[in-house]
Amino acid sequence: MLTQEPWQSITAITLWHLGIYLGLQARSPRIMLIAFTVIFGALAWLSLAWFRAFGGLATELNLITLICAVIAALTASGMLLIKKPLFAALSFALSILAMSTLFLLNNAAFLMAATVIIYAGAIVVTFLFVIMLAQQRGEASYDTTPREPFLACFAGWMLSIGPILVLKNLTDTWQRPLSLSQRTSQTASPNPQALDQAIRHTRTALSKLTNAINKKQPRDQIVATLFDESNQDTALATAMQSLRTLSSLSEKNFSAIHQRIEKHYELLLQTLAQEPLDYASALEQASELDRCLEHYVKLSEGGRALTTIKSPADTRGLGTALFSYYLLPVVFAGFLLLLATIGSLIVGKPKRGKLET
Amino acid sequence: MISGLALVAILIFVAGTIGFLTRRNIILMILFAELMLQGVSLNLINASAQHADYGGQILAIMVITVAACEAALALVLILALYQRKATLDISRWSQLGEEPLPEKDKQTTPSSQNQSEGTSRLSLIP
Repeated sequence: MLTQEPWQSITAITLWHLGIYLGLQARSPRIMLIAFTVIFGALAWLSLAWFRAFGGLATELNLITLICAVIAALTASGMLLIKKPLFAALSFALSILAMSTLFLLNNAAFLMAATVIIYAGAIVVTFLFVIMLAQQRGEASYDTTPREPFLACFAGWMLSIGPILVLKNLTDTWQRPLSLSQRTSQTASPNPQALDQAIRHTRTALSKLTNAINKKQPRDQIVATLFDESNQDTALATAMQSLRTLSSLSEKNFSAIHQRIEKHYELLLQTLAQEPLDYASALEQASELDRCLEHYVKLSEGGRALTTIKSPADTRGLGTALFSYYLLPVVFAGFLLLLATIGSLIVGKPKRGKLET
Repeated sequence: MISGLALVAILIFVAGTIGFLTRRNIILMILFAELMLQGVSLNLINASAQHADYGGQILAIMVITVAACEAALALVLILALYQRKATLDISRWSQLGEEPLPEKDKQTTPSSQNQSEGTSRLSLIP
């Protein structure tokens, strides 16, 4: 939408700011009604442009997304214009609810629940309590007269025009961020996907070998699976050879893990070469090699495997990403909450002298 | 589509900014700051859905954590301010002056007594 017609959205946003300015300055209910009409018109214009950019309702843009987006923007602007703090806070709650529906439609089911619980459930209710306790006499003079409405609207207009003009240029070049293997081997290796594929092949071959060892097959058959040339996917030696050539191309970053893989492969071959085959130690070597390969996958994917959204509304994946790849931020967030609790206790502690008076 | 919801996020963020600048009620100013954070979260989640990566959602969880901390601290600060001037008008706090502090006299009296004791003791020393 922005890439196609930025001027349309810029005009609509300018109209929205005009409506906000009119409503902030309004003294009579009629002007307020006009302001709300202007704001609603601007939002309708925006949604129409959005609608037309898709050429009608599609799977990416369904009617619920459109309605919730309009409700969220409308209640956010209503929060600006409503003079009574109580109704402004309620409008905020409505805006939060509409936005959490948008979260749900964007594969963020957990965040939808968290937002409803924390914002609408905790924060808004706490603010309502404070408003109720502090302001019992209705409208105060400082609620009815805004401070510098023109300058604020102008600043907001500049703030919203900037991202639109920048996004217009950016959306064409926006891509998924590169994974570690793509980033590091962009100059060294011609094809990072080939490395991933080689590792995957090696792991399938290794699992076949492990199966053979588990079944306690005779040594000749196990060695035959190792060099099975009829099916390239299942020959461990061939897979290791291709892995070796690909790894040598991006040797700089993965040399340590590659040396470990080579070492364990050699040990596995030595174990298999012994005449009375020691199944237990062969199994151990194979599992060790598999662990190294798994580590290699993680290194080459750079956490991408952990943080990719596999299916919509996949809350389990979010938990996995949160407590594996993003564990440190979670710890810091908990620490921040603890600090805020202690801080609010210290600041809010009543003075001893004040309690007595 | 990234730009449609990004536009909604921009609008909500800007509404929060304008409200933070124009409103004179302290509580509502804090609420508008929360609205700005929500706009940022919407943008993050939209980008997360576009890139099929959990990074944006996890950043949004961090934003919610920060917002909760901010709300707790802000309410405590509002109460502390309200105890001093009994108003929610932010323009009453526009100058960091120390003039209207009636408690100052009460607080200084015990310390001045201590000082007088100290000086009397000092005078006893020679």
